[in-house]
Amino acid sequence: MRILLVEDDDMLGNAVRDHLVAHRHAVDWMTRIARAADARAPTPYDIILLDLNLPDGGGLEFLQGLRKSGDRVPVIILTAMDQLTARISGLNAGADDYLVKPFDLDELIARVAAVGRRHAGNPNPLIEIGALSIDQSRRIAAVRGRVLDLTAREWALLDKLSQHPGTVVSKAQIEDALFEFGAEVESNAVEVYVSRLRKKIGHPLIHTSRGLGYRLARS
Amino acid sequence: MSSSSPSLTRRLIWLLTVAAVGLWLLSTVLAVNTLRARLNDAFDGSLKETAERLLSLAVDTLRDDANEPTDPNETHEVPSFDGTGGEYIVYQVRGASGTVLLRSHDAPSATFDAPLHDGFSNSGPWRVYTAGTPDGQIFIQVAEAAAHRADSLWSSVLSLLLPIGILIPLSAAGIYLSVRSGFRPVRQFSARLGERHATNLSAVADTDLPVELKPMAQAVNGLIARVRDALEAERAFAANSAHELRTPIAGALAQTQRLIAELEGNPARNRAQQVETSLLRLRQMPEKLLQLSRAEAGIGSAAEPVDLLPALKLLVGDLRRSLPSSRPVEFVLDAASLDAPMDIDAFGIAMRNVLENASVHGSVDEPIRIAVHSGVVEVSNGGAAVREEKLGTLKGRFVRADSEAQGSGLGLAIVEAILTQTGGRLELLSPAPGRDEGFCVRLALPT
Repeated sequence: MRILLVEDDDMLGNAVRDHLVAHRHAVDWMTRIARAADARAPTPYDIILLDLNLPDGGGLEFLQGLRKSGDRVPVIILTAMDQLTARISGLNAGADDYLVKPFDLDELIARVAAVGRRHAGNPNPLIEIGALSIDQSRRIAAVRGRVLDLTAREWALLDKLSQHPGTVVSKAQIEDALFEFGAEVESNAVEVYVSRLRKKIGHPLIHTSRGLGYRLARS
Repeated sequence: MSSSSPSLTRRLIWLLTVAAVGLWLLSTVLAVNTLRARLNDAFDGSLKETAERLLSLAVDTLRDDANEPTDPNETHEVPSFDGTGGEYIVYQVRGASGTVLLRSHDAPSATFDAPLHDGFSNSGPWRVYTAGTPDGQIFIQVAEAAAHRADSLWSSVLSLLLPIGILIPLSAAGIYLSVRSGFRPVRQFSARLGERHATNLSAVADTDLPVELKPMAQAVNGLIARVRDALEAERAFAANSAHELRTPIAGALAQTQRLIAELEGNPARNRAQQVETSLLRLRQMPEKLLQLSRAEAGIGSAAEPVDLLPALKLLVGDLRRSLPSSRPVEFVLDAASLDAPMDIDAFGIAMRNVLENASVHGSVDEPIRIAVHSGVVEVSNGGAAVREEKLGTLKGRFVRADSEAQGSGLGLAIVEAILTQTGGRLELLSPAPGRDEGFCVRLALPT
């Protein structure tokens, strides 16, 4: 998934970003609300991880601004404020989940996956498409029970396509999901990763819609 | 106010009534003194006038008698002035030698002990006026009993004293009504002051207070403002401290967990895991101390009842997420709402501690049961029953169910502090009701 992390604490932000990347997500890390707003405008993030107390403003106002503009991107609040009222305010402002610092990094990964699935309309973490099975909670894919060895980008591609099986995902959307800001992206990078993934999961499962993008076969 | 406290109204009634009666008595004494002097003057004047009129009559009577042969030693008596009773005024007519020549009916037969020259004198129980003829041969001594004058004076004194019997209750009632009316603004101020508590520390209106009491009201409002500032500062400190403590711990914990992940297969991973364990412990203790500090800062009460059920559902959801799927959580609702005049955050702190208690100390093989009745939340878990003598100590600080147990030992102390200050009640039951083992925490919320 393409994730926007908004966190001003270097030590925490650094660890969270690395952990998300290690779990095959593409992460853009911003330490200021203004930069997060700039990043959000052109990029269709799958999830935003949002701290509430930032040097240039409140995360809650940023979230309310998103919702007011009709942006439905899932948001998980990461905050040190543990009061129930703060949490209720966050959820009422449109947050999808609320995680109080200090949190366990694996719990964060699980919450990200759960919120992502819920947003995609598929709360079941297990997806079966013919011989291919995808376990989104454990972030593994297998063909006829044999677990596949996928790179981070290959997993990100499969994850993006499997969020809406049967629906065409554009090349630009795939690029956004695969590559964080600053990554050097070759013009044929998406085709390369689609080709590699096809070899691992089976060629017929990923269809090419010419001029539109790619879609994963329905289960 | 307790019944043993002194009543200002009662004291004022006593003081003012006693003062009014004292003043009345003093006035009576002064009046009686003046009256006695005036009565004496009046009676003396009357006595003198009587003597002067009787003297000429007596002289004529004696002359008439001298023309008739009589026993020279016989003393003449004249009938009394009032035939039905004793005379107020009596007289003796005496010769120059002191012999009684004539006396009134009730006059003593013995001579008055009064000199035979014009003027007033006192003779035993008599007030005597003596008047003589110009030649000094005949004297008349008119006397009035002193008791008669005393009777007259006493009846006047009584007429002055009798109104006191009416004055005392009337004065007390008047003072009571005046004081009560005068104290009405004070009572209203007192009632408004009584509405102030941890969640209502606004200034008390003093516009209708008497000018003498305004400084007191201003001092009270100043004190309330200082208490409000101190409480807000304490709450802000607790909230900011929590934030400032949690963020660096979160950073250190996250970095350590990354290190553990990156050291897969490396012997140093074990050390990193020990650091993680210490950080998790470090996360817990300041959090509990801050919760206790916030609980004791008076955050518990709310001005109006609020429905705490949505907050409880959030917490139960958190509990379910934090437990493995093999350990079920039963959530039983016997009430449609959970209304209580309690701050949601304080309720959250209390409930989190109770739920954490159940998840840490309860048997992992049995479900945690949360039951909501009207105004009551019960959290039960399985496990061996707690001994009765131990049960009584569990609300204390740094007390654990047993020496091997995890936890800060502060959880139930925090819950107790919050419930006590809000007027609720914490009960610990073991075995759990209806079972022969287990533990149950019952929170009776304030009403």
